[in-house]
Amino acid sequence: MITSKLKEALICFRAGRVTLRYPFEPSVPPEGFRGQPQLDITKCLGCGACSMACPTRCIEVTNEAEQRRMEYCFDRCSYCGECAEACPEGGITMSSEFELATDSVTDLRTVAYLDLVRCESCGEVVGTAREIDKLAQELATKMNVAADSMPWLRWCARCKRESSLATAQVLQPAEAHL
Amino acid sequence: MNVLYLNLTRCIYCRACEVACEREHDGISRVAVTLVDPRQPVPVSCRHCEKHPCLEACPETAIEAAPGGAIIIHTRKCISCGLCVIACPFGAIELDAGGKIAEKCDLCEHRQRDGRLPACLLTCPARCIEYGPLDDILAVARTKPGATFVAAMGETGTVVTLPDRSVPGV
Amino acid sequence: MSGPMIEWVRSICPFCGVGCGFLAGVERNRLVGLEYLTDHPVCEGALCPKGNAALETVHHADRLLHPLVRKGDGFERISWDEALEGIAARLLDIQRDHGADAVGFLASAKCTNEENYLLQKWARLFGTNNIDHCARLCHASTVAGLARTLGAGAMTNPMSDVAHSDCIFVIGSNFTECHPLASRWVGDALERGAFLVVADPRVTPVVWQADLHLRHRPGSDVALLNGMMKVILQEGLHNEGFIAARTSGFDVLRQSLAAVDLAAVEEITGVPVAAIQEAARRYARAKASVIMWSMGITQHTTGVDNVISLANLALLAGHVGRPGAGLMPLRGQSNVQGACDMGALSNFLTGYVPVTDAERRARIAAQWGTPELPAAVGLTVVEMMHAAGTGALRALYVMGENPMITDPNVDHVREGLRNLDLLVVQDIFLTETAELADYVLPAALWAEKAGSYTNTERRVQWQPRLIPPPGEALPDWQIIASMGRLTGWADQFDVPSPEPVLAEINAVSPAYRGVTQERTQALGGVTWPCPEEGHPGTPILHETRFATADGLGHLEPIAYRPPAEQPDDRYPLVLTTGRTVLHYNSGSMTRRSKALLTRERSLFVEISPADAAQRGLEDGQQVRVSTRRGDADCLARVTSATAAGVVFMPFHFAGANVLTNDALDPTAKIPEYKVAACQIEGLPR
Repeated sequence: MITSKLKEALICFRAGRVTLRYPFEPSVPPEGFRGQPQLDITKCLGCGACSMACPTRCIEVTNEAEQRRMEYCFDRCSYCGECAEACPEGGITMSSEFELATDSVTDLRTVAYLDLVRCESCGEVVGTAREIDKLAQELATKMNVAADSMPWLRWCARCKRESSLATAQVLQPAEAHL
Repeated sequence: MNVLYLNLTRCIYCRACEVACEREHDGISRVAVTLVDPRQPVPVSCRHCEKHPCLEACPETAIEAAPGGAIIIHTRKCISCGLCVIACPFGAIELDAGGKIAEKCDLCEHRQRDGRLPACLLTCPARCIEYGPLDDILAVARTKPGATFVAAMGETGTVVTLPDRSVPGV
Repeated sequence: MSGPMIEWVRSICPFCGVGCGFLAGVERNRLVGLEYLTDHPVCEGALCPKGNAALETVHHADRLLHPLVRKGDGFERISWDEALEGIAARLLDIQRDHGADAVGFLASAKCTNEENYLLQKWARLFGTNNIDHCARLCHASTVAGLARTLGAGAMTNPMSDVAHSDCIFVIGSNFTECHPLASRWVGDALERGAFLVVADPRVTPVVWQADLHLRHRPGSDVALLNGMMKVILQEGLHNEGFIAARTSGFDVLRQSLAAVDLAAVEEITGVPVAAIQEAARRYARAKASVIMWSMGITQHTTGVDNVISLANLALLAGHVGRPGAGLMPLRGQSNVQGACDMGALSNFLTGYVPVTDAERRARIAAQWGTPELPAAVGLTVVEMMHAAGTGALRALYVMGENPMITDPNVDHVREGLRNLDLLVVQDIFLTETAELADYVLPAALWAEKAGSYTNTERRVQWQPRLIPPPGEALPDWQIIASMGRLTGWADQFDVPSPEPVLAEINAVSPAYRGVTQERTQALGGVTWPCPEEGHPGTPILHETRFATADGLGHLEPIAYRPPAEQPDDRYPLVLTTGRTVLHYNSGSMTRRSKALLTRERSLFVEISPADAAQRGLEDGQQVRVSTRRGDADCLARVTSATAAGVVFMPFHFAGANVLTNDALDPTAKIPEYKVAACQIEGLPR
């Protein structure tokens, strides 16, 4: 009985130290470790793709009068990385940060406000100013048109349908095919 | 290169195309018959534009210009950012009810695969919608009363004949 | 389209009278899909929104599955034997105590020819002509008016023939919503350069396509038509050759028209003389002109007068009996033409034999193995409701009708139905009428039974049985045959299937003689009159002679009479009712379709911007519409589609027919749905 306990102690001493002195020294996570997502809010368009992708519903997108409110509640985050995968702007990256202990849960939450654009005709929300500016520039380059030649970027889907024939005539005069 | 033709002198605002589209696409219609004027309904759906802002706007590769001319959304690649919805000049793309996936006319890809024409044009009681090669469609459209034009961005896409709705009398 | 197990079967759309075809996909006793039947001659594959949603109601959770008997305020499930024997015993008691005429029967324009034939035969053998159906509420005036003038109360040309017309005169028909397929052929004609004249108080989608819109006041049709005929005679545009060779009564008509004053017509109708002249000239001068009408003409106390006036107009111009020229009453229900042909009418036996015609009645009596059939004209739909109220009618047997939504003055209908000793309702859902019944019998719907349907073009098409009925539901023909046997005619109702019934119809009705099951099963069926086997059918009527006794078209002078109810200070607006494209009649089917209901959710009233402003009403506001008969709450739609002074409501939702007037046309006994004096007030939000 005693000998077996001694043998056990011997084996443990022989193995040396296997744990870190953490938290007295830093712990470096291994390659590929998924920690807390990092936001670069300057890149955020407010499109909400991250919110749609998030399985734990950490990210809430709501429209207020003039602004879109993006709330990131990383206290519920499961570190799956879907939001970073979805973000079209690379505004979310997965860090290796995992030391998230805090006295207040609000420390894990971030709220951002982005300017909204409402339909020029009916006031329905179209998108954020950043989305529309980005599209105007990108489409102008890719399609070789003037950035201000696309008034519909500021119209909601319903109003676009209602003026769809007029829009079409602007784009393609009748004579072209008559 | 097959395109849709909307002979708008004939549209009667019955919305059969909406109900048919809805049946063919799991309860979500990708065409919305819209009054552009109190007396002029237009079945608005994707115009399958030659110059396609939706495709250019998509940050993923979820929107494809298929070889036949159709613009197709690959829903499995859609990240639901909604940029194509803003980019479409005609209001033909919308996110589905859950805000998850961008939905639009796919010219009944699933039907065409086994040789059937899109449901909207088959069901249209007034024979307002037709479908065929662009040149044939333009040849037919020019014989109809009203002004004909390509109602899309670019040189090809949906062709429309627009009537003059002035009604003399009372 | 192709699952390995799915079988695609040709079917007939169960909704309106156009009779479109489609392919129904059947898999393991369920309808799983719908596909367009592009070679169908009626529709070329097209379907309106209702047709597209036709399958949604078939497997609906609300279907009636078992016979029910009233127990206090609710119902209790009973067996078929208990139900049928219970009903038979009570019907025989009422027959013994009060006579057969104390019992009424309502047939259904949604049921097959065979079922309507059996029901009217049972009613007559039971001893009464109190058999009627909703044709009384839609085209009774057409049947009566055209029978008097042309000899046959039916559409003269096929629907697709409109494509060959040069002038299309549409009056009181919103076919773009009620018979959307008609737009196909009208569109073709317009592209060929045809002229479209539309007379309608509302701006319907038909008007959008019109070359000329005559916005006459509701109920002023006779005045308008007399005005047009006056112009035709004044300007010598009448067809003298046709009038001389094929009509009688021209001189009397000419005399009566001489008294018509166009300025007075403008006063009555609200249509400028110049527009009336233009319409008359266009109609008379065109090579082939067609007149299309529906309830806007018929649902008036002057319904028969209106129809006769249309016949006068067509005969005067000689626009009958040729391709592209004819009279087109667009019939409302999938088998309303057939139900009339079968004799489900209080005044006609099978094949339009008047019940008062002793000789021909005796011939049919002999075929039915009885010495005598009742000779007195029976009660019509609305008269039955009145008789139920007074106690003259003790029992009502309803096959698939829903008078609690569709009959005028519904509050009065409810009182009448409650007053009955026995109300039996046989239907697919627990309708508003079935809720009042003593017995409710679960019936099979269109896909669950075989039989023939006659569309508005007189085209008879066969619908095969696709799936079994749910629960214990039975086809109507089977239920009626059981009732026939249990009430004393075991030999006449020994019916194993619908096919022998059609064979009996072939023998009884000359026009249906060649309408065999085999012919009706062919794509597009066969069009009656088909007087013998092998006859090709008759798509165009009256080509060489009219169906009247002397073979001539009878011109008959008609004087304008105002509608039964006029607006006054208390009820200053005129209410007119009709259909919307997304719903169908009483709505018991379409209000159960998600696709249709989400697009048109509830009762509304269309009111002109002027009338709305006067009452401080806004678009989308909750309002109360009231008439002398009751009131109904609904949403206001402010639209210039309706003229100032006129408001419009669809009748698919409960409420509209609480308001309508049950005053009747003296001949056709059709109620005046189209004119009721009303008032509208806003309700607090």
